[in-house]
Parts: sequence; C-alpha cells; structure tokens
Amino acid sequence: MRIEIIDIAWFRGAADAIELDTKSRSMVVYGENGTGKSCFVDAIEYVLNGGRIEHLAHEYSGKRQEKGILNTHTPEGKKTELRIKFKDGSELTTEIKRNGTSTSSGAEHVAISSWEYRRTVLRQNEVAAFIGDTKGAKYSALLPLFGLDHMEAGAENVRQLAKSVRAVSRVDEMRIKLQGVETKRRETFGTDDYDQILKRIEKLHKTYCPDKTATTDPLARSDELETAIETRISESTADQRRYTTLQDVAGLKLKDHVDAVRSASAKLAGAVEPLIAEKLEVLQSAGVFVEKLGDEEEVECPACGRSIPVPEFQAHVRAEKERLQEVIATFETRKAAIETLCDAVKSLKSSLSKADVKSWRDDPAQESLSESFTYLDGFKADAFRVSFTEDDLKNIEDKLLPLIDAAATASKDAPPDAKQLSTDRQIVETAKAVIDAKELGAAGKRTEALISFLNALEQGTREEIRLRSQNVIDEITADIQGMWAILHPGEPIENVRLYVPPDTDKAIDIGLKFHGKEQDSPRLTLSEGFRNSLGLCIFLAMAKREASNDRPIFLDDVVVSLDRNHRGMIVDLLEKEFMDRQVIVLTHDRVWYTELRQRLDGWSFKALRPWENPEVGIQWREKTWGLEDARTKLENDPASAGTLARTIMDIELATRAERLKVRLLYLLGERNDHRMAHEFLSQLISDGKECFQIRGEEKYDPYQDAVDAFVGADKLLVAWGNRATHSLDLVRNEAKNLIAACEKALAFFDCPKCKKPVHKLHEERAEFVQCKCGHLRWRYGKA
Amino acid sequence: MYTEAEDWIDKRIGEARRAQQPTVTDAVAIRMTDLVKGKLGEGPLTSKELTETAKALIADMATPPAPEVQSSHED
Repeated sequence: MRIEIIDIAWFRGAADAIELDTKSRSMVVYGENGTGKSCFVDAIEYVLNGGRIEHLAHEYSGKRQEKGILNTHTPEGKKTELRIKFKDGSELTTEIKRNGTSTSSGAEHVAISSWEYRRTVLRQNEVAAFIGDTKGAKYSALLPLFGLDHMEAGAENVRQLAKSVRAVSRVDEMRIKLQGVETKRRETFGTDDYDQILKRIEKLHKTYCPDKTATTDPLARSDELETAIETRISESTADQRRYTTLQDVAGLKLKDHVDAVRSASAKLAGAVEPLIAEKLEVLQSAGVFVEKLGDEEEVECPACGRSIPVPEFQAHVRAEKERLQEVIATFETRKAAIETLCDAVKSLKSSLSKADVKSWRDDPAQESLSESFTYLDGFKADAFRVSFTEDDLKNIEDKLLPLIDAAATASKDAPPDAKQLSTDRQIVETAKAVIDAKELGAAGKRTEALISFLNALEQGTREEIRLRSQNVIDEITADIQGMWAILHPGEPIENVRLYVPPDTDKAIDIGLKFHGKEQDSPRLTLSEGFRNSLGLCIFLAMAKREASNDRPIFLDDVVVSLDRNHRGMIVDLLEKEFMDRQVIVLTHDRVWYTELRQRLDGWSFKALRPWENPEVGIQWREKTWGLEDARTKLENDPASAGTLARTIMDIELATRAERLKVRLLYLLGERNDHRMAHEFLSQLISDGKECFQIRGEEKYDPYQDAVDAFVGADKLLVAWGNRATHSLDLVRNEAKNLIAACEKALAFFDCPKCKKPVHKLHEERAEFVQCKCGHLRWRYGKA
Repeated sequence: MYTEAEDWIDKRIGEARRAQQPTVTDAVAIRMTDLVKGKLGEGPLTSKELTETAKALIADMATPPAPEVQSSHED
C-alpha cells in the first residue's frame, strides 16, 4: 500500500503542519543538511517502532523520547501530530502529548501495522549495519522474508518443552536418588543381582509369613514381610526391642557415608577448580574460534598458539565436553553421597527417639553422650541437603559416631533373635528401595528418551528451516548479484552471496569473491564505500521480495560514501528494478538530485528551504531549484542572479557531461569534482561538432544548433558569469541574457521530439548515448 | 498455521523417534505431530502451557503400546 501524504506538525524540526505529498508516486526530496528532510522518515520510524526512534534512544531524550520528538518551541495550544494517508484513502493519525505519550486513531484500518522498519527504511548510518550485524541478527532480520517464522517458533517451543520435561519430571533428582539406593544395595546385598535379592525376600517371606504363600508380587511380599517383622518386634520383650533398635543403630555405616561425601567433595574440588580456570581462559577465544572451522586443514589453537590439524582440534573439543560430563557426574555422586548420609542420620535420629531405647539413653552411663544427643535431636537433614561443609562432616564424626559406637557396645550381648530381627528388617527395607528404584529407573530412562527425542526433533526442525531458507537465500542472492553488477560493472568483486554457515543454527552470513579469492565476510576486504554499496543492494534485494505488498521504501541519504560514478549507477538500479515500487529518496547532494531529476521519469521532486528556526520549522521551496531561481533575483540583485546561473550551470553541465561520457583532462584531487561550466562547455563544443548528432531524413547529421548554443552560453559565462561572481558587477540586462543563453544551451540536451534527455546507452551500439526515441545521440566512442 | 505441505513434520518426527531407547510411544508422536502442526508454530508457549504439555508428554511416554491387532489377511 503506497503512502500518499505524510503530514507532520510540531514533530522534531517541523512547526505548523507540513505535508510531504507524494501523490502516491516515487519521490526525491532534496534538502541541505539540517533542512528537516529526515523528520518525515522519523515520523515513519515512530509509527513503525511503536513510538521509538532509534537515533533518539539515549539518556538525554527523556523516558518516552519526548525531549527529542517534540519541537522544542511548540507553543501552548499547539499539538504534535503525525498523519499518514494511504493511497486507498485510509489514514493513521497520531497525537503526541507533552509527556511523550501518544494516542492513535485509524490504526486498525491501515496497512502500516504489518510493516517492519528494517525492511522499509534505510538511513545513512544503517546502510552497512546489516553487514556488521552478527550472523544471528542477520538470520533474525531475514527469517520473516523466508516465511519460516512459524517453524522457528516451533523449534524454539520444542526446545523449551525439552527443558520443561526435565524440570517437571525431576529426572536429575531421580538419578541422584537412584545412586543412593545403589549404595544401600551394595551395603546390604553386596554383589547380589535383582533376582537374587528377590529370592532372599521370597525365603524370608516363607519364614515370617508362612500362611501367605499366595503372595507372589515382590513389593507386596516385602510389605507383608515388613509388617510381620514389625509385629514380631513389637511382641518381643522390652529388652529385646531395645537390643533390636540398638542393633539397627550399630548397623548404620555412618563413617562410610561421611568418607564418601568427603571423597566426592575432594574429587569435585580437584576437578572443578582447574577446569574453571582453564575454561575461562580457553572458552573465551575457543567459543568464537570453533564456529569458524571450515575447510582449513590446520588451525591455530587459541590457547597455546600451536598449529593443530582440524580433526585433532575437534577431538580436543569433544574431549573437553566429555570432561565436563565427568565433572557433572562427580557433582551428582557428591549429591547422592550427601543424600545417603542425611538418610543415615535421619535413621539414627528416628531409632534413638524410640521409646524402646529411652531407658538406655537415660542411663547415667550415657552421660558423656549428652552433647551428642543434643546435636542429633537438633539435626535438620533438609538444610544439610542444600549445603554441606567439611565442618558439618567433622561434627557428624565427632558427635554422632560415638553414639553408634555406644549402641554397638550395648547391643554386643543382644540375643540372636534381636540381632536377626534387626538384620532382616534392614534387608527388607533395602529390598523395597531396590524394587521401587527399578520402576523409578525405568521412568527415568523413559524421560531421558523423551528429552532426547525432543532435542532430536528440534534439530530436525532446524535442519528443515536450513534447507528451506537456502532456497530463499538463493533467490535473494541472485537479486543481490544482479544489483551489485549494475552498481559495480566489471569490478573484481564477484559472487556476492548470502549463505548459511555449516553446523550453526540460527545464522546467516555474507560471502564474496575478492579478486578471485573467496572471503567469508565483506568486512575483510571491502572499503567503506563498497560495504555501503553492498548494504544497499541487500536492503533493496530484501525489499524487492515484497513487491507484491507494494510497500514504500525510504532511502535517507544512503549514497554519502559512494563516489559520483556509483551514485549514477544507483539511478540505473532504481530505474531497472524499482520503477513499479514507491521509493522515497532523500538526499542532500544537489548534483545527484539534479541527475535524478533529469533521469527518473514519472517521479516527483521536491526541495526544502534552509531551516531557519523552530517556530518557522520545515518549509518547501516553492519551485524546484533551477535557472528560474536565478531569474527571480534579476530585479533586485542582478549580480547574484548571474552568480547563481553560473553555479547552476556548473552542476547541470557536470551531470550531463558525465552521462555523455565526455572525456576531460584529469585534474589533481578534489578539483576533478569541482569543475566549472566553462571547462565542460569547451569540451562539449570541441567534441560536439563530431559527436552530437540529430536524425535527418536519411542519416544522422551534426547537431550544429546545439554546438552554437554551447558557444553562446560559454562566451557569456566567461565574460559575465565570472564578473558577476568576482566583482559583483553585472547589470540586469546582462544577467538576463546570461540566464537565457544558459537555458538555451541546456535545452539542447533534451530531445525536441520525445522531450527526454540524451543519457541512455544505445542497446546495440555501445559507442552511442541517445535520447529515449533515438532522435538525438552522442557518439562518445569516437570523441 | 501451516498452509503448505506438512509431510516434513511426519518425516522429522520419525527420524527423531529412531534410535531412542526406550522407544518413544505412539501417543507422544501423535501429540507432538499435532502440536508442531498447530500450536507450537503460533508463538512462544506460556510457562503454564509448557508445564502442562510436559506433564502430558511424560504421561504419554508411560502409556503402554496398544496390543497388536491380529491381521485377518495373514498369508
């Protein structure tokens, strides 16, 4: 949807409402620096970016950029407003209040809500931004063009799902718990396998539950067995119960568990500290480095600087990852050891809290253990699971091991029945944990398989995105290459292309061939001017893909770093590729503006007056800048009129001579770009006698009238133009004749039949430049 | 919503299922196929949606496979 009018009032440099009326056509706006032309682009950016303008995003612009967005001298009662009217008659109006808040109307009916700033506006400082962006930022910028946003969203959601499955299932905790059960299993059953453990349970079940032979399920058997043993204990004498409990306490392997935690802590500290130190040093450089490994045979190690074969380096990176896995495993082992130790202390606490052992605890013989009992009673296992220090281990050793020793001493004389009951209870408890763990382990494996499946699906989706992106990338690349060829014909920078770097997700980069050598990035070899030129091609290639949407494109002073020749090529590019699109070009380059005006058919042209002050704001020149401006000065200031006419001729003749490929003597430095009208006319006169031709009845004839007009203008420019400039001494009639001679000379560059200038290369005969209909031509090849 | 051919989803889910041990259940594959074809492509899931979907997938993974139906066209 094309824009018809952009209307701004008290916005940035604008005062009372000023309209950029494109009449829904392409347009070139000329204005010297500071005339306010970019305010119209700011208005578009404000609307597209939800009230933000990137170049105002700094600490001084206020919370809502109101200090930069509102005209500093907005009078009381005046509103800051933006109005954008579209070709279909729909309008978006935005009012911005003094505090920067804004209200819009019509947004729901206009097309602009779906436009993206980055593919609509290109400013001077953004031209090379895409090239300088990271691979990821390039990918994000291009993804909507691929039409694959939904697949990217899908891949990201699958990734998040894998993380959620891990969190919800608590699979990591599950693994730690399983390690704890394994430790207990080894303590109780040694090397017995699962079936042998079940056989022991079956045997005990026969002993304790002879009347329940029908029960075959291992867990049900264990439950029945546990109940039977507890019943047997509760029915025994108080002495036997005490002995049994003390026997349980004596059987706790607390010392082993403390040692296990200590050993795991030592192993972890030994593994982690050097690893962290090493990682900090290596990963900083290696992270970036590994991504770049392409077809090289050898790479320089970022850590030691040695050359290493690529496969060796990749193996090294793999080994590092495995090492990291080992550290994670050690970390989990330590957590499991802490869990087991905490469980053991909890069992100790539970056993010694039983009424069965109260008499033993209260016995004066245990007086020396009072501090140990106090410590045990205050033990909070959950707190220790979070954090466990060496001091805690020492406390357990100092305070709790004496309790176990005392229980062992006290239960030494326990009757065999009590000992057996304690042992059997331990067997059943551990067997139950092992049976539970079997299901838990299966669930853990299922969850791990599910997570692995989701990870593989995410990778598969990304691979699909990569394959599909490649097709679009190929198309955009073809456009970029076509545009690059227009801007840089015959130059040794070729094969400019977008590419998806191998083995990297969410990334796109730009490659090219520089004097026959492949380069991974334009930043390696291209000059600033060429990078800007490439940035422009990429922007236009992306914009071209949206031709069906007929959205306007804004190019704001994008040719600043291009030389005259390449600026001329941009006109070719716009003519060839964008005649069906609405393009709004803003420039402060008067020469380029003149050239655009001469060459772009069907475009509108407008120029801004110099900006005076905030109250006056942005103003259009009433007429497009030309010799008529000089004529307006005739009455009051003929010398200025003559000077202006001469300046205009300097510019007008420069662009015409360039299009005719008139060869001029090379001058040193900037003088090449600052030639005077006389220099051009002299060459045009001498070459024109042979080269400027008009179609006669049977053949082309020399265009003598044109040459005569050039001679006439040249004489007056030398005689009066110089005088007007240097001595300010020119009378009205002289200035009037000078302007008329200049107008007459310029008119001869336009065809009297088709009214178009002589600037097109002859399609079949390269030595000619001609007007649109071919009635006039310039034979530069023979000049 | 997908408007183009969705064959790739079945293909990629098939590939992702391969080599997983224990086997990823049909229930998981069916749920993920529906999700990838629909909701997952519409935008980021909320944390509540992620949690609920994760729970459903874990439950799907524990669902025993349907008993095989005896073919009536045995050779």
